[in-house]
Amino acid sequence: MEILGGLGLGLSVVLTPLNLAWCLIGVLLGTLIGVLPGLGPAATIAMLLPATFGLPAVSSLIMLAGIYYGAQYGGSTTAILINLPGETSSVVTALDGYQMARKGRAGAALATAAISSFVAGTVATALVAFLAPPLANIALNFGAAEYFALMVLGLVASVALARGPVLKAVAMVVLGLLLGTIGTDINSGEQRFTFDIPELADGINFVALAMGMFGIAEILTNLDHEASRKPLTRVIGSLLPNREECRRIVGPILRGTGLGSVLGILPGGGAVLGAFAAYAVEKKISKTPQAFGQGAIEGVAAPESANNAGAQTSFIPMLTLGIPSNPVMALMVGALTIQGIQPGPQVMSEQPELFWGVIASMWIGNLMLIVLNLPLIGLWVRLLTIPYRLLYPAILVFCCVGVLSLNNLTSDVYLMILFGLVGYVLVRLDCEPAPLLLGFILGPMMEEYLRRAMILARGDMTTFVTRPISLTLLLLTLAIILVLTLPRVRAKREEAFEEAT
Amino acid sequence: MRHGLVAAVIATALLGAGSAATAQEFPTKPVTIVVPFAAGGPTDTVTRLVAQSMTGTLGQQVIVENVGGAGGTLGAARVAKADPDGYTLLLHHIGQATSATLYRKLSYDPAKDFAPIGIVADVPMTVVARKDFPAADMKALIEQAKAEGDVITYANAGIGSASHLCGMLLMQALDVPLTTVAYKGTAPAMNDLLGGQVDLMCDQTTNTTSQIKGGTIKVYAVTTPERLPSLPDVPTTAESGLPDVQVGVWHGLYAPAGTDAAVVARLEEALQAAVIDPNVTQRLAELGATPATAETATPAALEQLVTSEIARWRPVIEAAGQYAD
Amino acid sequence: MSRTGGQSSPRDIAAGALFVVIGCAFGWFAQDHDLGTPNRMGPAFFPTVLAVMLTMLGTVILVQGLRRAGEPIGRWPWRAILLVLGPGILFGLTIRPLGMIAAVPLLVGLSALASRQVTAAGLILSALALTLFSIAVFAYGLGLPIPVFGRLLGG
Repeated sequence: MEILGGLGLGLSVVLTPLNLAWCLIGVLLGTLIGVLPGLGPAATIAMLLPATFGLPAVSSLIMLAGIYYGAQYGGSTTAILINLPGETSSVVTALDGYQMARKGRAGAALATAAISSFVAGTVATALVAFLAPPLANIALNFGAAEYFALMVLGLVASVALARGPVLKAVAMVVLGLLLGTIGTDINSGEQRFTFDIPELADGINFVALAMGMFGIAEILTNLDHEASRKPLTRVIGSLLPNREECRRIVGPILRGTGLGSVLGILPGGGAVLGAFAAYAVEKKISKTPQAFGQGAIEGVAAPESANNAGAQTSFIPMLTLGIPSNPVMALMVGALTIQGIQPGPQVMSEQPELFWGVIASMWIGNLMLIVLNLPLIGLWVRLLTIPYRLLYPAILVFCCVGVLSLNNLTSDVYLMILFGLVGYVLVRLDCEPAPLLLGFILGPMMEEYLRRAMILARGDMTTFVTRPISLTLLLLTLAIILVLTLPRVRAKREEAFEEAT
Repeated sequence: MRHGLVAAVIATALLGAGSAATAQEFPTKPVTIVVPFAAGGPTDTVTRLVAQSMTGTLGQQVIVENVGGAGGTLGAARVAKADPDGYTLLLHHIGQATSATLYRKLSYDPAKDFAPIGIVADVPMTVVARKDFPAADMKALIEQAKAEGDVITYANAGIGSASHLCGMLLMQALDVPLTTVAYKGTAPAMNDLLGGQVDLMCDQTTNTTSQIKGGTIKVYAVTTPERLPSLPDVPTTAESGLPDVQVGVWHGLYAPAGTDAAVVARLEEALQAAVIDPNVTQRLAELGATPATAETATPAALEQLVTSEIARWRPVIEAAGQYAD
Repeated sequence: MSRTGGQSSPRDIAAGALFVVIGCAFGWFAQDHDLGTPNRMGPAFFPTVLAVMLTMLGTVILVQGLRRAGEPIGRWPWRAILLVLGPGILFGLTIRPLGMIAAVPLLVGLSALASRQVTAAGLILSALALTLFSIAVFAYGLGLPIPVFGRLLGG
């Protein structure tokens, strides 16, 4: 009852013309920067921060939150249309979304992304409202050992991302882990593999790596096949998923929402696992795993719902503990402190209008986003009818400007170009970039947590099995390895059966 | 090559006119303040507040540009090498002084390659522990540390961070090596402190005040000479028997060395106006920071502070043997 | 691409060799650092373990590639590689001295030549349109600190 009262209070805060307007501005701006590759919500929010000084705290937070989840919506657009994931979360969406687009189903892919995001956003908002305090405790119970076990689980699951040979996928994960070790070692302060280049001291920028390996490499692939590439002169197929597809995405959306919500709560890397994990789960339980990577609609629905659910639940540690779980949340903490509100355990009781207002605005914002985005799909799909010779220079411009806007370092542009070449060479050798990217994201965290766990346990390896959460996660990993190896026989039989008919 | 040529032509053209004329007109185009950290951090927030106020005084847009990386040394290097025309400035914190020792292969000299404009603000720090840590006060903590030594774990936000510096100072004062656990930033360190995974930390009031007030962590002392108005019940380190543990995260504004004195004076004027601008002071107070005064927001005060802080931290860092490269 | 490469798989051999080379390189440079102990792992510990793993995986992929047939690597599209990556580097070099007003048209104009279907009108129009769009959206709309006119153009 108390919660319903809270939500009522929240709605009464949001449903004022002024706050609705700020919410709309936030989600519009978020969609725009999400669509432009490379530009992230963090940079945009930072630039807008001074402009929010004059607003009431609730209004400014409502707008900033809108930018954040609006960007999650927009981010999938370029991933699907031109294989250009501008953010960690849309890497997985690019896998099947782009393949759908190439088969003339861009509209259905975009609509699936929007619908999945909306459902996930709604469910996750409810979770934040009803379970924020108990869920926050999960985050506190996660020590270094638990995180390490979670990372191991994520890495094992990541092999499922590959559609090609398993051995090459494993090698790509390891290569990604190695690339992740480039930069300053946090424990000793030593610089590894930087060759005294100060720009490498903080490691390789993820966006430069992802845009190079996906976006730039894809341009090279397409130009190589230019002669045989069929121009999409008209929009093929319906803009919306058909009845059969709608039925197929229900399960993935619900499972993706669940996984994304739980992982989103964990600060320090949990959230990025959501999309990868959701995709891996769907591929594993699917009756047609071979369709994944070829444009399976489940492969769009699952990661998109996981992303959005995670984006909403990542507010939980910030609102209840005052702990920002990612750079965007750190900015929100900054925005609140400037407003004279110290984010922390007291916000919920001392600032109920703020707490519930932001939560209610999330749902309203998600509603606005789907109403805005569904009609836009037709427009986006029309982009694909632009001849490729005109489209790819534009993609290059957006990549270069976008990557430059991250840290204002031209070295990021050079890195992106370098990884474009590396990515293209690897694709030519049948090595897919997605497992490498996951390894790259998880590598530094895995090492950090492993070493921290060992320091805290004074070198006692049993720490991983004596702590219940860590033990559970490792047992789960073991189960996945077993499942991965056992049903190979069954899958092969099914393939043989299909070929026979 | 062409750059050199153009510069030479411009230099020749300006030679007769003299630099005083240009300094009087300064600024004629937007001024950029480089923040050597990612957007959204405490230093970024301080800079944006000051930049907004300076925009009003200078009559030109003051733009904030985040050039993060390598503990602030990438952004500082960019300003050190920028044209000394007053249009590219640096706002850096205590790291400007500690990087002189932490980084052995720095491409610039933090003391000589900058023309100080003035101190901007100072953020005090607090010595805190997990909620259920046994020691009741600083005296008990000192005793426990002497008895248990490295059984106690100390969290920091990475090499060169304020919490790392404070930790080195604390361990030196206690003469006990605690087990240091490094994190990437304050947030994950605070998360582990809240969850009881680590024992101790020393961090800026910006990050700790709300947790202290919420009773989720224990506080032992503030690292300032006097008690803080925001935490009146918390004793100072000096009161608790550790007079040497005094750290504040001070912020300073710099131009590249060689900037015309008249330009520096104009910028100082704008900074002086910013530190008494109620918009700035009020927000800074909310962040737990103390704005600089008319005496400290001056080139001389900042120059003196940088020199003394470099000298003060050098033996501490060298004794700990912890470098960032 | 339907032609098979005889008794070996060039793609697997090349990929395996690449992994071995990268693994050895990381392993070599990791030895500049301290391996440490399990309690206090040094900075070299994690990379060394990974480098050994990558080298082993690369060897297995290489050996398998020698044993089974596979597709050839094929011709490299040098024109596209040079005319996409080159202008990208050039953009990095020109953006600060010249600004978007020159760096964007250079990037668009040169990279457009990578396509064999390029037309003069399309090239000029898209260079113009993208330059205007970039300046309007990135510099003025979003206020990114990317110069419109670079240092050398008086910005």
